[in-house]
Amino acid sequence: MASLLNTLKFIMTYFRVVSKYTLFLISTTWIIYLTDIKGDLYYFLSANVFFVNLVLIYFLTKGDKYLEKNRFYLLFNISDVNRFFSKSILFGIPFLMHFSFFLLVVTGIDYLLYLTLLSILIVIFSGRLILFNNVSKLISGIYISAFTGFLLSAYFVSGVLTMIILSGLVVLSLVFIISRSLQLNKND
Amino acid sequence: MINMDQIIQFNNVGKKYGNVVALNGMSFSVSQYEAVGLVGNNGCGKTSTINIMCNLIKYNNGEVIVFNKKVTPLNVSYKNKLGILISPPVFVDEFTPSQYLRFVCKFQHVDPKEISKRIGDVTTLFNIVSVDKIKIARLSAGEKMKVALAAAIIHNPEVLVFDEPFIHLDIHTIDLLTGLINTIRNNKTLFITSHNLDLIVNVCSRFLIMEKGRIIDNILKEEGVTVDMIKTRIKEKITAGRSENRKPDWLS
Repeated sequence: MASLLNTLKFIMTYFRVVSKYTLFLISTTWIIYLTDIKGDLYYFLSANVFFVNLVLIYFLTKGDKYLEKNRFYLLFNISDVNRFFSKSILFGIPFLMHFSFFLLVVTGIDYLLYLTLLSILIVIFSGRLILFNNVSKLISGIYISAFTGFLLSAYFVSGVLTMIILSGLVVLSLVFIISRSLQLNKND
Repeated sequence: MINMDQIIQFNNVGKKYGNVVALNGMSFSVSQYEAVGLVGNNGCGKTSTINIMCNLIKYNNGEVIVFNKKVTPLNVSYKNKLGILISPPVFVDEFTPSQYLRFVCKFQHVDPKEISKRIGDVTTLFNIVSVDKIKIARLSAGEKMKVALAAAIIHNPEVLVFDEPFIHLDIHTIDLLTGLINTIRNNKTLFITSHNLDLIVNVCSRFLIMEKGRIIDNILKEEGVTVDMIKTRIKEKITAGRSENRKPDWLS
């Protein structure tokens, strides 16, 4: 099995070679959210930059589809989990920058709502990891729906402390799933 | 049943693509340091056999055992011991040959201190030009095949599994490859498919004749049996029962 580190190096080199300009664009354009433009233009620009970047990130994550189809990943035992982690690191960091700055700076939402949305994203991410470990789609769906509902209801009925505890729980479950995935990789 | 003397075992293996039967009760085994050639007509199931052996596709029934372990989707660790060349060869088209080979070394757990030396050695061996300058996508079919061969042997595998290794190669590289296989075959197990009887007869010691998804004959290169006799026997088996194709009237 190809190690996580080598998979990460491969994914980074691959996307650097095939789409370095797009990567540069999504890694730098979040600065727009922090500019000192006043008025509607600021909102117009920021919203466009945010949504264009979301679309770019989505299509970039699909950029290695042909390596799946031509069985390159199978040939060199590069696991789905390692690829998912590597892409999450490569695209997750710029995505989080856009997500956080857009919500907190541009729209100025309540930080509790931001924390809730972030936790839901983490739940979806960890749900995807559960899927990789051959647990049924039903269980993964129940997990994601239950946690999302839990977090949303906590946001609407409770205060800061509950939110922090719940977010902590989500992060802990994520750490558990990641360590279990790495263990499975090691056993292979 | 696991036989410890055999490196590769296919026991009554079946494979279907929808309604099309590719393998139908395929059974054979390969011992250590054997050089086995799998021959048969187009569509008889040679590539499916290689793909199942290398865990690239699942089989429907029967049992495949490689290095004394049953091949399942989760049992992939044995693949580092194989030098695999599948047909068509697999690449990362956007990489240069040297970039690609570097990652192959990393994925195949080659000692990091040795990677540069090995890349230099195999690219010199196969005379791969423009190692650092041209992307693989822009190489000729023959050059691509050389890169694929280099990737298959760069980690010094115990077993070489080659599907149609001679296609697209120039005369010099074919000579080089047959010479290379003959040089290393006492220390390696070889499983190879090819339509080129002249070449496969030169490098293999046993031949499995395949027809309609199963082995129909097993020919051993023995003392007193000439290469021509083996070729004749293989041809007889492969063409047996086939009616002569009639040339269309309009083709003058």
